[in-house]
Amino acid sequence: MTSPARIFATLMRRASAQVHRHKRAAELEDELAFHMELLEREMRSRGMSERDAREAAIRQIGNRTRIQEEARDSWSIALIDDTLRQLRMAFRSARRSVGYSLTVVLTLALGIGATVTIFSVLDHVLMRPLSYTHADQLVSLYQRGRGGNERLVSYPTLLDWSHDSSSFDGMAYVRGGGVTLALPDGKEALGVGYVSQGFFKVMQTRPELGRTFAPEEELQFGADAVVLSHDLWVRDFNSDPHIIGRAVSLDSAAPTVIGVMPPGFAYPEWAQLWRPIGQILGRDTALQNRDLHVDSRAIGRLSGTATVASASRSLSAVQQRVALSYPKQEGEWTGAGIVPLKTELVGSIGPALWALGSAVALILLIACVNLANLSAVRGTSRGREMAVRLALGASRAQVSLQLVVETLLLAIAGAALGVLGARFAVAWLRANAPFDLPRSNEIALDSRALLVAVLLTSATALLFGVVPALRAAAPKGAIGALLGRRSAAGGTRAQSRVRGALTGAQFSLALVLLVGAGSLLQSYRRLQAVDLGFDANNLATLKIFPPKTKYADAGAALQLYTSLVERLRAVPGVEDAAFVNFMPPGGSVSTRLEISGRKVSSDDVALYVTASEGYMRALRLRLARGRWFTKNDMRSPGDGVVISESVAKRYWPNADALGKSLTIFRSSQVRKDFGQAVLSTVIGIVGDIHQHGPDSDPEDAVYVPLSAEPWAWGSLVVRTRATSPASNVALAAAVKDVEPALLRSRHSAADFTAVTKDLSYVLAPRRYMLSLLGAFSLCALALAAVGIYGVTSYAVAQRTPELGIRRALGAAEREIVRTVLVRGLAPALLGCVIGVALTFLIGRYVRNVLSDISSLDPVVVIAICGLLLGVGLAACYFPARRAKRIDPMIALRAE
Amino acid sequence: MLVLKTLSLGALHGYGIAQHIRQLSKDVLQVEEGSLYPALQRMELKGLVSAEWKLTPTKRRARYYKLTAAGRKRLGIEQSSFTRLVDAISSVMQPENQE
Repeated sequence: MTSPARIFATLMRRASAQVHRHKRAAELEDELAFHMELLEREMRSRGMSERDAREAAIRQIGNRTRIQEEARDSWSIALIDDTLRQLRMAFRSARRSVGYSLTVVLTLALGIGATVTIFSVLDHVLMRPLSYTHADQLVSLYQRGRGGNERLVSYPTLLDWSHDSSSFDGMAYVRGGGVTLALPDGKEALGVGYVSQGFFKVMQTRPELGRTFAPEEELQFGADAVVLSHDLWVRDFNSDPHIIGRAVSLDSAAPTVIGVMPPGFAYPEWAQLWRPIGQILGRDTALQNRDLHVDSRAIGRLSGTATVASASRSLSAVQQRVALSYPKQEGEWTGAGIVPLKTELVGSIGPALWALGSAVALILLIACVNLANLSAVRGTSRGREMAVRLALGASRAQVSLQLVVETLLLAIAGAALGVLGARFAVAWLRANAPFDLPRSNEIALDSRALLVAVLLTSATALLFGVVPALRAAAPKGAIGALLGRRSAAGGTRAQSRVRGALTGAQFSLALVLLVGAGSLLQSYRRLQAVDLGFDANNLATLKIFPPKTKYADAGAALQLYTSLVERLRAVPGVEDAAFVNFMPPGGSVSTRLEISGRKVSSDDVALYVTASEGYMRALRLRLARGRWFTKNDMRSPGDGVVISESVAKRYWPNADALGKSLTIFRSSQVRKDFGQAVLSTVIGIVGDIHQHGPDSDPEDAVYVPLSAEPWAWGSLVVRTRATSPASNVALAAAVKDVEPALLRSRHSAADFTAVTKDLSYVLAPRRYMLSLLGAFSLCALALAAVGIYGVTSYAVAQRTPELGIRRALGAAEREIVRTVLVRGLAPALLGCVIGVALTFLIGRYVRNVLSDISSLDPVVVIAICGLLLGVGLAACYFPARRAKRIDPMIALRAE
Repeated sequence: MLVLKTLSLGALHGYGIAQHIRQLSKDVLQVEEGSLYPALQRMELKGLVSAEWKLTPTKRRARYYKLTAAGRKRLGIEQSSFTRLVDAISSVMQPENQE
């Protein structure tokens, strides 16, 4: 009989009655009037007088209001009615005490906003599994040397591994490369992964469209096929559903698109399309050479029973056999390193994010403590109100409900504001995520984060709303409050001590965070002031990728670079121009160094820089000894190389390096003579430079004349005049004059950029961390201020009678203020002391997380302490002023 | 039950219901207006009756109540349980009628 549908129908009718209750009341009134009219007529027909009939009818019907009330009870749902009334009251009370409400809402907004924001980041970057099937089984593979150092695996070695090992369900090798994709509206340079047989089987990800490589396509000289990434397919092919089977133009090849991978499939991260390694096996010498360790990745899938440790043992055993078979190339490398893919991806950033996460959790905790304090303050001032209500017959449940509703209203407002703030914060974090924050494109505020927000809100509302509510409803407290007893406020000595301790804890935490942020700011400033070894001002640079079809030959490439440099020099406003394979700050390649009489070691490496004759002048490198390359060197390179001072110091510490000979190895991977040993003579020594930016140390470097090794791509660099510099348009036009194809890229910027801008990009991760930590520490500071304000106000409210007596007995205003300030600031002071101790205690750990805080600067610590105490003092001042103004008479009367 | 039974004969307004019950029970059962109207409201919310404003034969606007399907079913159930109750009571009161 009571089917769900019927219950629902009843509920609907009830709800509608509730909504239309005023109309219904009017209708009922009408009905009753009609009834009375008929009754009256009946009475009159029995012969009564008009007046008697009326009175009889009224008597008969009885109390009309009562009928109305009884009927209304059946329309309305008592709970809803009550709650609505409570809500109205809560709104009114919130409006009445704007200061309190605002403080609570903002405190909660800060706490919940910060937590939800960091939760979103943590959740998406660290907690969620990668989007691959059984991603926890995927591991990156490395070779491990005797000394524990790691290096990339060569292709032949990986093949040995995959034939041998039993702990894996498969292994694959990916060789990185670049291709130019030609589209009707322009060309685009893309990263391509040449994948070994079975790569997609190892990844176990099904394509979104089409299929992955068939066995015959994976063979050398197999049918040329290509698989696209989702992003590339969307961006360059407008998500064309009929893309499968179409040929695309990649360099000089025209492979057929056979599949599109789903969103999130990005291995390696830079790959936008994948081709079988068979397509380059014949051409790429690096793939046949066991001794070359080139731009590549090795990945494996652990079998169901294997762990990282067990697989690492069994693979190391395999590698030991390989090392024995190839002592020359592999002798030093007797182990295998296995790193879970996710660890590799997020490993370095993990601790920093967890540290931030815990900091934020503490901030939330502070917020809750503050709210508890604030509501306690309010509880004292409202004790009487509650007591009066109880005395007038409000039920305890009603009074409690009112407090809970009030709290809930504020909590919801705070949470809404917090989530709104978090939305912006998350968007900002995502948009400004530095390049080294992995998976940053996945960061989003989603239902999980909202769930966290809801849980936090309920928890905090419970914590700071319900407990005081219960206390207010306690009969003892009520009567006490009515009588104006101090005990009613519930402030025993122990409680006030706990409150003080919590305030102290807030200050310690805020201090730790602020010192962290301050140190980070200081080290950031220091990095900005680092002498890079070259003058980055008025330098502009452009990365160029000459079309392989036209400039595959080293001579043609050199010719191109020479003409470009000549043409750029002719642009008005250009002081000098040059070409280099890797312009700082940026990438680099290294070469091994061998010097006769010195034991060959894998540690003897230096950056391999190949540059034109204008490079030293353009960058303003400091020439220490000898000379730089001349135009003559560019025409016919001798065996002369220039080394950095660090190289000279390291290999010839007690002798003049000039004129000494050393062996270096050709390092351009695309050339046939890659890896060839070259005996060279030192003709010059230049100052060290920070090749990778201010945050990494200067590295050893060997400079080779561009003519000796014309790189297949590289950077043009231009020093413009400080006054009337050449415009980017003029520079681009000059490049276009020489080779229009260089600027015809679709998505890469076809424009010179300032080197200072690149340098600022290098520091972007630090700025990011700095803004994050800065924001959180300011939150903590604000909350600490609110906290101490709350506690001191509470203390003043509680001590009002006492202070009043003191005033009455003749205490000076100043003395009252001092008492309050000292009482209020004591926990803050203690908190600062503990915070400083804590900072030094965890300093080592923080230093690991935020790598470039070298040491704690006492100046920073003292400044932060001063700041905190200043804020504390300001926060205590308001309650102190209130205490000063206590009217002794009123205070005493209240007693 | 009485109201339901009354309405099963046709749509009626509140006054009509009260009159009807009073007449049929020969004034034994007095329906108090004070409980009639709240009861009608409750029944309406439970979906046992439906109401609508109509004109009386005397051209007066009145709220007419009508039995719904659910109300009809409910009447059946109540009637049978009432009959059972009456039977039970009468067999207790007049045991000599048995066997």
